[in-house]
Amino acid sequence: MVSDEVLMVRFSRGDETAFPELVSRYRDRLLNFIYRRTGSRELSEDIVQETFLRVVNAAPRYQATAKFNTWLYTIALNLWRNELARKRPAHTIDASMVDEQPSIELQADFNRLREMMQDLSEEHCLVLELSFVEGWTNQQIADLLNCSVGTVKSRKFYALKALRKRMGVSEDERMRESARAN
Amino acid sequence: MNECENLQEQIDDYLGGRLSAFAAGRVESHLRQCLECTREVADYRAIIEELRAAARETAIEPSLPLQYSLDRIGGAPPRKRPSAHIHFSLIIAGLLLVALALVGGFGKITAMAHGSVIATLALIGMISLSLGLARLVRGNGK
Repeated sequence: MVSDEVLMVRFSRGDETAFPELVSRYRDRLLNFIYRRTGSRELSEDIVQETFLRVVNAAPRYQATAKFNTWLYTIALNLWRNELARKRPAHTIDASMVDEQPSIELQADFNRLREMMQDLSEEHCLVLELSFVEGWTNQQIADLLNCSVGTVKSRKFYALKALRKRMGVSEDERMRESARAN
Repeated sequence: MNECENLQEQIDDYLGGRLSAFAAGRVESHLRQCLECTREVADYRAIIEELRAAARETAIEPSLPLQYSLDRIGGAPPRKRPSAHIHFSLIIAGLLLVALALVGGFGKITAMAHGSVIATLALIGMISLSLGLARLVRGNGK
């Protein structure tokens, strides 16, 4: 399979078939990655559209020195952070941005995901998601977050430990409730 | 470093399947003997699976307007912008063309072209410049 970087170079040289291939590789993944941060389909789609638009505009100056996916996700994350900064100075999901009427099932799943991650910082959530959902290597995550591989590993471990602790607390609460009911 | 601490050091690579067969075997040998570490690893695996499941269940499909818009964005390959130097040269050439047109230079050069090689070349140069300018204007208009 042709690498993303080769496709991007081809596109920058005028190959019309290269960009649709890149879009087909990343459109859905990037959309969902951003959607998990925003909770709003409309905003997520705007960010994805703007991200690819910026890729096209930057194509004539593209140099395959960095991984394409790192570059793409950096653009999208910066757009999301700018949006947050415009709305309010925090990293968590803004209720005003969340879809007003998503399906009940989707809302329940989304709430479960938010509940799981609520005690973690944005950086810890990113490390977990990029590693275990997106399948990125520690080096790719380090490049995106501009930190060392060691930092990525320690953030991942910290996040897993925090979630485990939270799971343990939930399990204890469930058992106490069950005991009270009996 | 005891085996439990060793596992903590290697747990990321172990969960990610990046350990060598020898190192993974050593971790597994420890897990067979240590209930606490076994529980910890099982919990991490459950959390990772939960994360993946939640991501799958919250996944959305791109809307048709987004698909259409991305198709349009990628429809035309990027056009390299002419450098400032080329822009400047073309402006000068354009001004010369306008000046020549104003003083009837085209007619004079055409008349001279029958008898002079230099004048013929000048005429060809002018026509090429005009075509280049027209192409540039059309390209920027897209």
